[in-house]
Order: sequence, then C-alpha cells, then structure tokens
Amino acid sequence: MSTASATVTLPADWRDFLALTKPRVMTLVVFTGLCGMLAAPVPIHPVLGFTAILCIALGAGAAGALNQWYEADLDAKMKRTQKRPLPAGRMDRQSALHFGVGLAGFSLVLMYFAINLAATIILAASILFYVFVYTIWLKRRTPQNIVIGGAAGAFPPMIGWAAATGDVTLMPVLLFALIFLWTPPHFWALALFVKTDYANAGVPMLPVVAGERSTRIQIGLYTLPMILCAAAPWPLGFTGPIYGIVAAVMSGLFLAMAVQVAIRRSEPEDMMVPEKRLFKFSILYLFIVFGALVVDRWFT
Amino acid sequence: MTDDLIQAPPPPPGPAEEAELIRARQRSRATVMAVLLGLFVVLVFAISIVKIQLGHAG
Repeated sequence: MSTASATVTLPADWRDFLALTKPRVMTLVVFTGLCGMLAAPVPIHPVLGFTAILCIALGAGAAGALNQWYEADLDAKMKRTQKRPLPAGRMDRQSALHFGVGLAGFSLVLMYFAINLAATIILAASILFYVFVYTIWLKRRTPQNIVIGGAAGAFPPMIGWAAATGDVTLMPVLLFALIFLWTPPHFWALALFVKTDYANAGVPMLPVVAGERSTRIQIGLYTLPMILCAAAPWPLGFTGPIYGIVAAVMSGLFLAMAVQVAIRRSEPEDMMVPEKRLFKFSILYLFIVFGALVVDRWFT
Repeated sequence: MTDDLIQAPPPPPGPAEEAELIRARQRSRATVMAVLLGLFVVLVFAISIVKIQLGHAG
C-alpha cells in the first residue's frame, strides 16, 4: 500500500466525502436490502424500516470509503478510478480513514439501538468482510478475489430480512447465495472489457492471470448454480408464481447471454459487445428478480 | 486535446484567495453537517415515538 501522490492543501469538499461512499454501488445494496426486508414474512414499521435501510446504506458507504482509503495507489493507476477524491488529490488519506471508521461505527450503533442485534451483527460482518477479507487480503493476491469478496455485497438482503424478523432462515440464505453467485459473472464480464486497466494496476483479475478462455468458461459455470438459486424459492414454497415466472424468464435470458460469452473468442480490436451486454443485463437482472420478490409478496 | 484542456489544473490561488476558498469549504461543510445533525435528531425522535408505541421502550 502506498499513499496517493497528489498534495492536498484545501479541506475536502462535502461532495468528495459523498463520492467516497460509492453512491452508485450503494443503490444496488440499498435496493437488495429493501427487497430482503419487504419480502420478509413479518412487516416492519416504516420508520424502523427506513432506519434499517439507512444503516445498510451508511455501512456500505463506510466500506466503500475504507476501500478507497486503502486502494488510493491502485485507483491512481486505473482510468476508471483515477478521478476519485484520493487519487485526484482532493482529499488526504487520513480524512478518508476517519470518515470510513466513523461512518461504520455510527451505522452499527444506530442499527443496534433502533433495530436489533441480528441485523447489527450481519451488517458488521459485511463491513469487516469487505474491508479486511476482500480489500486488504484478497484483492491483490488472488484471481478469486471477487468470488470470495462477493459475499460482502450479498449480505444486504439478509440484513433487511433480519431487520424485519430478528433472525435468519433459509430464504435470506438463498438470496445471499443468489447475489454471491451472481457476482463472478457480473464482474468477470466487466473485467473482460477493462482487462488492460486491471493489468496496468497489477490487480490479479481472472482474465489477467488465467486468461480470457478460462474466464469465459467460469462465467458460464457460475451462471448455472446462480440460476438454480434464483429459481429455488418458488418450488421450495417461499414465493408464489409471480416471482417464479419472472425469475425463470430472467434467468433464461441471463443464461443465454452467459453462454454466448462463454463460447466465443475475442478478435483483435474486438468491441466486446456480448460481454458489455451481459454486464449491463446482469445489473438489470438483479433489480428485476429482487423487485419480483417484493411484488410476489404483495400479491400472493 | 479537449480532455487535456478540461483536466488541466487551474493556476494556484494567492494567499488571500486560498484563505477565502478554505473558509468557503468550511462553511459548506458546516452547513451540510448542521442539516445532517438536524435530520438525525428528527430520526431519533421518530424512532423513540415508534418504539414507545410498539411497547419496546426501556
């Protein structure tokens, strides 16, 4: 780890603190957390529900800030990330560290006092997992970084469920597994078309270390258990046909796109259209499948 | 070329301009902090009311 090289003289703007929380990543985290909460069999009071989602968002923001604090040197080497507050020199690293730790502590204390212990423990686990296991331990060491690290992003529906019910059953575990297995195809599709960026930064993403062929095969392989997890809640009796049909259709489309990516080879100057399509669709997939879960709960 | 022009750093401000810039940053951060603290107070009040209503107080 090294410090960002740019000199900082001005106090950071509040917008840079906001940018440190990775607001775009947070939208998916908040959405899946909200769906986990709304799909739970026990209703939660709207004020407490709002507070739980706020805590999930703040916890995710804290993890994002600590990730950027630790990876300032990596971010400076990648086009995609070099305009972030730390590599761009708009903020000093100590401010980012204090902000991240403070936000994490605040989210956990609020979750404990306003909601319950189960949700607090899972939120703490997700923040610690993202910072220590993914960012500090795995990301620079193994091409399986996002497979194991993906668990951090899979916690929000479980936290939402635990906030409503106070415990964790098989259904939130299935939702966890769905996002956990969705992460590799999603990120490896991205890594296939930003491979050079990762290689320049020395991040051992699968396409950089194991090659494109292996990455494509693994995208296909991870998609199979992912669609099983997506489809499982209906036959297991946790959801009704609305979710079952939407999940089946969306999973079928996902599988078709993943297979297309898995069996092709890129040419020189390849525009990587199927990979970009799979990456974009994977985001839509998660939104629609989780949305269907909530709609199903309301109507069946 | 256009990117170079957009990304070129502005000329360094003089001491008076820099002091003014720092004060402006501090003002905007203080304003945002005040708003957030105000919202937090409202949230804590609302949570307390709900907890009392649900019989979870104490």
